[in-house]
Amino acid sequence: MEVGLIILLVFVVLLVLLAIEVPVAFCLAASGTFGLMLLRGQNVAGATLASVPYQAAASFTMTVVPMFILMGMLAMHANIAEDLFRITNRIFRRVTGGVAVATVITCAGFSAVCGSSVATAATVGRLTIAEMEKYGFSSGFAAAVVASAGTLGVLIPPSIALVLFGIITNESIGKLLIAGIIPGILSAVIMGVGILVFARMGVGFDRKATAASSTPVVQAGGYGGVMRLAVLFAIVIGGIYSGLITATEAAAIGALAALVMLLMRILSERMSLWPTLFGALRESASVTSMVFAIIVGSSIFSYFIVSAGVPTAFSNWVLGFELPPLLLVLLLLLSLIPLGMFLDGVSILLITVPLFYPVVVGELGYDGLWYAILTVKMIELGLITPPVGVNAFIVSSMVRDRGGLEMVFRNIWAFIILDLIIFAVLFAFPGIVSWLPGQVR
Amino acid sequence: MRLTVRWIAALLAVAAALSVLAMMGMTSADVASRWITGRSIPGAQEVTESLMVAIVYLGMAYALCRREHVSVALLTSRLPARPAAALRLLGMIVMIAVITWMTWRTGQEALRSFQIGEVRFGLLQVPIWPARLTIPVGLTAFLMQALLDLYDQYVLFREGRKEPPSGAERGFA
Repeated sequence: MEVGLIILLVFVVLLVLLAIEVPVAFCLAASGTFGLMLLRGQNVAGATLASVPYQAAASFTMTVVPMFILMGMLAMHANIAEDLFRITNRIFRRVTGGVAVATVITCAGFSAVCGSSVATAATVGRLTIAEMEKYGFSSGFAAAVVASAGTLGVLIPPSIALVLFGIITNESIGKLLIAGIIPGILSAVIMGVGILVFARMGVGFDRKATAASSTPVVQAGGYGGVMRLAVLFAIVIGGIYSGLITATEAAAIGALAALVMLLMRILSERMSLWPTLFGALRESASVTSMVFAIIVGSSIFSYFIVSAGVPTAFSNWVLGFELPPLLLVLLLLLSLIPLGMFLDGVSILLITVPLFYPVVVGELGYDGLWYAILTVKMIELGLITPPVGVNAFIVSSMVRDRGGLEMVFRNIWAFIILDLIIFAVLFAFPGIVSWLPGQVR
Repeated sequence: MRLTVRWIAALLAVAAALSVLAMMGMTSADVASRWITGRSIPGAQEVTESLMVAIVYLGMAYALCRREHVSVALLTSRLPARPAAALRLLGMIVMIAVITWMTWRTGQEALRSFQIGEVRFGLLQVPIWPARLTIPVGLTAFLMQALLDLYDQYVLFREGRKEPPSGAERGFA
């Protein structure tokens, strides 16, 4: 059979399997295996199934993934988000829409100890959505704030997405993580300002804004959690930035520090240790397993893709249009938006980066860190765009009124606009991304 | 039967959870040792790699149990119950077929690795067959859980009932 026909067939099989609700990881594994059978025969396909499951997992660099996941899981119990929200809400409560700004800052802060958007949105949403509703925000808008600000979890280090980008492309994981800091803060600022502007225009409220007058009681205190946040961030990012420890080691020590914090809280509040600790460990293993199922599946898939010569063909094809380089990069990045509507972030990274990175960085010579951050921005957008926006899905179960998911999607447009503005700024000024990692020793 | 599979998945999840803890301890101890004595713990990196494999595969059945794996319910959730169940059945059969093949081949690899005494060269010669063995073990538990799900889906298909809503559209990253 002709190679082109095989490739077409494999992609059809992939899409069909996705459509009939096979988990993404196994869609990739099955269609990749099918392609290898057609292309190279049954023996090669079998040998791939024998070796890839071990090779894809048994890598020291990969251990950074479960360690960051564990750190996030433990941080959930360290009262970090609670305390941060308490303080920021106190600062911003007199401003119209201030509670939503406090939510954005809480998301950004929690992102600094958690590498996952979904976990960030879930943790912060439980605390803040009801509070925003109290201040007159509509349920859908309140949930949309969390869904959108929660996506900072994959941009502000630690970040599972940036780690995977580093593993796929051999860019330095440490530098990638550092590169996420300034764009992450910038994103939070633009989101916060955007929300204040929307609030001025009356967007997002279903009652008259009640900022100063009937302000719900705001509790004092909350400095402990912020201290813990600072310590964890200093260990992980300080460790990587100073070059004293590798990203892998920083992740493990960060997890250990989060564990010590949990133990201290358990001792002072007389909680029971095992259910919390064991729950966090088991959850980390389960999520790691899920992420690696996708990694193994896409390794098999890309083994086929490479065997069929797709990356070179793809590169020649897109370069053949002889578009202005910057326009080509923009088009490649924008093509991630439709993908993000249907696929999860890990799959998008693992499928597109091996194809796009050689063109953008190898052929056109752009900065790999810049391209990484822009890719992650697109993945963030994919987390909130309908019909499959994982973050929107997570927060929709937390709102007061019924009809959650559709209500969230009806309010998400405002944040899609803000995300596109942030993307445009980062695209136009690569220095925002590359400056800080350039300072790393 | 159902309970047995649950138990196996839960038991392997405990092993995976302990591996996570061990990985954290091992890597931290390695850094501490390097700072204090100036040397790494021999074999730490090799053992950590093996733990990585154990976490991934021993946790897999449990992740399926909790419906952690990301899937797209866009089409199937809009179809009537019976065709949707039929399509899901087809998909599950494909998945089970591929994973069965993978289980068989990784099992052979584990056996070969044990027989030739395959080691990972480092400061210490750490045998890697235990890590290789966790793959078919974890995948077998995964298959058992998948077969149970297949049976449930068949019952839904036969009776033409809608699937109870699940957290299918999940994800991480």
